[in-house]
Amino acid sequence: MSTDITASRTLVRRGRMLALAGLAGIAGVYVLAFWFTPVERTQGFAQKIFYVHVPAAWTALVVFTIVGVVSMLYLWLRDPRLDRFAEACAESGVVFSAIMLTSGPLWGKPVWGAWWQWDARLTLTLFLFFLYVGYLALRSALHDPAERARFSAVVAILGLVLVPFVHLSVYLFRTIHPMPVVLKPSAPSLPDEMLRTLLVGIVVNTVLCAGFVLMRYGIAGLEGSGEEAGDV
Amino acid sequence: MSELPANAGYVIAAYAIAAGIFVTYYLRLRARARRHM
Repeated sequence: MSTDITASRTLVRRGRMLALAGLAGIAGVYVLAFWFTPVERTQGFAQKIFYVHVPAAWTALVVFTIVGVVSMLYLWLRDPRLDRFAEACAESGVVFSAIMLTSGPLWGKPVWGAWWQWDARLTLTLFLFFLYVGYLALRSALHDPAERARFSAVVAILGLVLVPFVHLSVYLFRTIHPMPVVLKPSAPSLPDEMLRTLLVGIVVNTVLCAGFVLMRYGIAGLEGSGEEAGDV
Repeated sequence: MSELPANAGYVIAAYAIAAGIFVTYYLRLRARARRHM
């Protein structure tokens, strides 16, 4: 038991270091985006929101995919650590998708002339966000660890089904949302300096997310959350 | 004083909100961890 606590404390400390490195990296990305990346010709200065919006969206979708996969593994192996890890990832995913959903309208207003459009990409992303907010609400409402882990794993798998629709929505539906500029079959359609800032943003957001997940997972271990989730 | 580019307000708001969310979540996690460390 004390070994578990020591391991959880180590995870929290490592997560904290990663998160601090990620936060410093975010400041670096801001400097890179504002002063060392050219202004896009058609959208002007508003296009700078791209370097906040896209890395946050990328991180949220990756982490929600991990939640779904880990939840499937939980239903198979019934290991409570998997349930705790899924919870840690889901909470970080909600944080990053909140950034995606706030930066999107702030970009849409100057470029599209509207804060929001009930377009397939935007609507599906909003549903995904609500689904994971519901996932976290469900977890806090259920007190039996095994029941909580089982029910929330099912919700997470439903979220996993939604993730490819979010990514492919720009191909499947008529939408005003731009097509992917990097994750597409052909070469990235961005000038090198913009691509560099975007990739640095993606790496930094991923590091920050990893830090948050480690901290949250370690905290769950310290709090003994879901300790009996495997005892079904 | 140099003039801000057009739509700078939207950009600054997006960057500030993102930084605010990240820092708030980090501080929340740190406070929660400290209760058990």
